[in-house]
Amino acid sequence: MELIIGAGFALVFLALGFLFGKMADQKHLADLAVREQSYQTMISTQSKHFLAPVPGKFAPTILSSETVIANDYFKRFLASFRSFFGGEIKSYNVLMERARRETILRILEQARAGGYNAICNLRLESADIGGNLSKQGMSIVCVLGTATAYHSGLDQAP
Amino acid sequence: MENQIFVVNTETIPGFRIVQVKGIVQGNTVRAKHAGRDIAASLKNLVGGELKGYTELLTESRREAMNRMLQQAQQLGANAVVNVRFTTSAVTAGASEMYAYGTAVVVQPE
Repeated sequence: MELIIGAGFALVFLALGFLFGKMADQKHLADLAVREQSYQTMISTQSKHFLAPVPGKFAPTILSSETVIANDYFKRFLASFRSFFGGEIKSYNVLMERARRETILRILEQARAGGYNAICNLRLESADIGGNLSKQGMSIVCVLGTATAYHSGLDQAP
Repeated sequence: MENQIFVVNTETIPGFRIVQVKGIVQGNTVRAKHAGRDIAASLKNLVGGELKGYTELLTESRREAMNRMLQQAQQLGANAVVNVRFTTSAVTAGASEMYAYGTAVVVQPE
């Protein structure tokens, strides 16, 4: 009896994870695509040097942003299968990609809000926050980004 | 201009020349999430999506670490901090450290 109840719960969780996880995924990716469109004219480089700076307009400043995204139950279930047989876990690729794109976008948004038109020295790193979460079987990815915003005289045609 | 400290994660600042190096300045903070956020996180782990509470926590930690770094820079009499880096580490269960460090310098307009 207990086994049946346990299996029932697992099935409900799987269904919930599948439905909402897919929805969250697609919604976020669509949202990212729209927002990235409006920042295409912004010069964003990971170069350590300022490309065509306009000195004196505003002082350059450091910007930072972070994104923490959780994976859903269904994908985690599939991933546990995959880690038994080995190979690429595609759902985690997508998760990391979403977190990275979101982090970069947030930096660009901050830069534009501050009146800047370019960023350089963009650095991304992933962090392990909350050491006990992964032991509880939770999978969250955390991406931190930093960049320096400045004014560039470069013409970036849209 | 007098009170403002330039903070960049590049080695130089365009339009300015570094005239004096004051040394490394640093700031750190260790923060824990409260249990409510952990519960919210475990729910989010079912359906997926962004954990806003954790993102906020990281933003706060970053601000705190940076402020502490800037205080040090001010004490040293610097007017800019260049080459700023951030690192995180999971110290104990449920808590993480944010550490900011950079080089305090004195810059002059060219």
